[in-house]
Amino acid sequence: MDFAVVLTLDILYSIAVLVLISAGLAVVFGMMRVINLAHGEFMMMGGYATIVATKAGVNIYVSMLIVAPIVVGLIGLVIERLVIRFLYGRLVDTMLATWGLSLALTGIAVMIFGNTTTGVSTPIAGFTLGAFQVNGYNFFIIIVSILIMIGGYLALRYTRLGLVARGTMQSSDMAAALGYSPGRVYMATFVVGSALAGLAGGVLAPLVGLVPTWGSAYIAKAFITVISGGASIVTGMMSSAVIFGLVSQVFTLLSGPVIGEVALLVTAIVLLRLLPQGITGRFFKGRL
Amino acid sequence: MAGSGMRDVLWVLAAGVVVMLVAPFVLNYYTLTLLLIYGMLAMSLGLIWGFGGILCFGQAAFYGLGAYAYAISAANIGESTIPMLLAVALPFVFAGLLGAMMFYGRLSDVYLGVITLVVTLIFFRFMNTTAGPEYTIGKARLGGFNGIPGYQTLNVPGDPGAYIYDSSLYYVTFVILLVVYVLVRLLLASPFGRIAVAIRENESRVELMGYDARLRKTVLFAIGGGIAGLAGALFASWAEIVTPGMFSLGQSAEIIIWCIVGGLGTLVGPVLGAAALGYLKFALGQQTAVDNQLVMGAILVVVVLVLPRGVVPSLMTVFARLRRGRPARRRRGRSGGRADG
Amino acid sequence: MADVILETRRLTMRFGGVTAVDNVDFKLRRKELRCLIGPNGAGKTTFFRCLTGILKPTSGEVMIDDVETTGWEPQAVARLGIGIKTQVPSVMDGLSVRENIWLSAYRVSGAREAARTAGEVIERLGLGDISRAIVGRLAHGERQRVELGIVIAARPWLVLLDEPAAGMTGEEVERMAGLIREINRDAALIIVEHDMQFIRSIAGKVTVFSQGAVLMEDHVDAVMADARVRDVYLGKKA
Repeated sequence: MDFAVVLTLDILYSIAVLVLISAGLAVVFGMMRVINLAHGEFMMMGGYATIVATKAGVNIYVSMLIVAPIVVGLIGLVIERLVIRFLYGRLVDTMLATWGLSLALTGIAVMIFGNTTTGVSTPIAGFTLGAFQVNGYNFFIIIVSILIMIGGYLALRYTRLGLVARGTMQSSDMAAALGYSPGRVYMATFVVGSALAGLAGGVLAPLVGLVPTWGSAYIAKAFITVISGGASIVTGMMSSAVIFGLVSQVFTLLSGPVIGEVALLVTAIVLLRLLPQGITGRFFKGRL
Repeated sequence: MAGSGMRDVLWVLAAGVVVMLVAPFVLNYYTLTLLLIYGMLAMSLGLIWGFGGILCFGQAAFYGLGAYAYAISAANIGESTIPMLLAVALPFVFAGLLGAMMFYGRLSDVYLGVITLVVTLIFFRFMNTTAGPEYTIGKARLGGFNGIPGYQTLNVPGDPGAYIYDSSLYYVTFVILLVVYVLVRLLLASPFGRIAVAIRENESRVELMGYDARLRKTVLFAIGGGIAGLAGALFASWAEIVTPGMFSLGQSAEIIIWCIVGGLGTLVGPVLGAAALGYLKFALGQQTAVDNQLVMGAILVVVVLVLPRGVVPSLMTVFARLRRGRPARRRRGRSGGRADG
Repeated sequence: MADVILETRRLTMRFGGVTAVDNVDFKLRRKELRCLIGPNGAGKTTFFRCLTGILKPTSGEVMIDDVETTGWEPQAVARLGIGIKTQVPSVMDGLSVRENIWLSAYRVSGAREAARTAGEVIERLGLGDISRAIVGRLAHGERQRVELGIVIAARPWLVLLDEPAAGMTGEEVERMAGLIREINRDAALIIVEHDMQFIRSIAGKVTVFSQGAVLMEDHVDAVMADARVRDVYLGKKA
């Protein structure tokens, strides 16, 4: 019984992490067909923002949930104005430019923070459940990811901003004809996506020893999750995160973390081969 | 091959021979050979991407496969000829299978990119875990993160004792690069090549003409894989060790950056891009003031924004404009080269 | 060669709840020239796409030269010797006119003959002046002609054209009609069209589509005079 609970928690955690790291990329890809390959570095910057703020005395929750998203959101704004703005509609070019940005940002981080690891400790202690040790922080992460998904869905569905954003995504010309500036919408969307990435980085930072190259471990998974999910932002990301989270946890349990990773990757290949438009290209079509 | 195409090839060959003879006065053989290997690797992607329209995010997978195939078979056989052949054949076959899986599934663009990226990731992750003694093929231990050292490097065919290294490896590699270049140009000028370029332009129209585009893309992709494998095998002889890093995402990224910077319209562009950036990385590595990733990244961003077709095509346009005194034909965006270009 | 070279039996194409092609039986004879007409949304182009393999029909059969080709890939259909021109001009924009046509000729003629065939086609279509031009730069009418050149360079015995006269000037339309009559000497044709004058000038039998089904099939003059056809075009209940 305890084992079942712990296993469920592990799977939920696995899914939650995928959601967390993919949310920012999903917003930007789902809305604007922009693939931001610097997404991992945005997370890294969120992590550093959290650590620096916490070490300067700011409450860790504030650092993670407020400071990190704001800092990275601002950086995202600058990058959008300077680079991304000129590349809308050019999918491959945005991938290449953001890849360049990812390298550049890593380089800058190395120059500022050096190659050594830094970190802060998790604010929530673990506890025991029967014969198992459970990491309390995992709950926090699961909750944050649920809130992100709910918040995202509500924002897109019920707020004016969400409606305008969805409209622009469907047809930017019509949105412009109605008086909304697509340029502004894209800018705001990119900032939101960056902030989400910063949030992810901030929340995950206490779990790792942060190095400038930390982001690169996540970009592949985030990218794969988003593409496999398909065009719908929330539904797509959720469905692929659930599948991948489940597969990777089960295989990790059976054969260890590396096989868990490999299983995730193989599943991605199979999924994409069968559903070339992503999951929501075929199922849940038209959902948010 | 059309007259002008033939002339271009001869010019490139002549220039190549000149560079081959002059370069050792500028740089040492060791570094030069690596740049040549990078050039060949870049050419493999330049072929399938610039001419075939196939954006592969995991070209490093075939590079690594070639290297590992060479290392493992050389360690077991003790002579380099068969390993070299295997190092081309294995990536060729694997790329063919992977290509068939993707192209017969009508995958394209981003989704193709993701799958190729995932494949290279799988190799990378898997190879990193093969540290234990149970991961052995014949006499070769896969060695996990540390890779495989100590195998027979390139020798004169038939004579395992006559090693080809340093200056002779440089010349051999250069000649191989030039030979591959000529062969690829011949391929592009052949009907197969012309159809491949047409597929890049408009796949459905080519199918309506009665050609099987999926098969042709698969073959082209396999050829690209084989060339990348050859580069990997040469690397194996040059470095005397093969490591999982060869499969890394970073390596795949570099290959793409070489092609972008060098320009996708030609075969020469990517080679020059690889040589230039490879050298830049080497030079940057010697100093600590500016992080080399920062420079590379900045270059990529600037090139994409300012010279979307890459350096070589942009230079060619300027050159042509100056020569003819009127605007030369311009092609917008990242369209690739013609079969005779 | 059998007399009926193309036939469909109960051909049906459904998209979700919409039946675009409804149980269509169709026969085409050797060297026949048939036009498909009908208002927008009548199912002509969908039917056309089922014939060419671009769409896989929901049910029913397509028989070409007594071979069942239902659901075949377009390239397999083309390999039977069928020339296909789609509604939106589909050509290689980045290549020259000559290269476009050569590529088509090569499949049928082989390397040695292909260049000569391409030259002949270019002459025949009056593309000589622009043979080296990059197709993407050409005007619409010229691109349509290039696509026609691609079609005939493969020496087809059946030609399927979807709106070949679309967007062309009066003079170009006349020229196109002449070309089609020439092609008809060696090949059968199925042409989807809207331009009534153009259809009149190439004459022949006409099949009228309406709401996915065949409304009537007769010589062009009879069809033009028919009240039902008029109603269908004007939107009155058929």
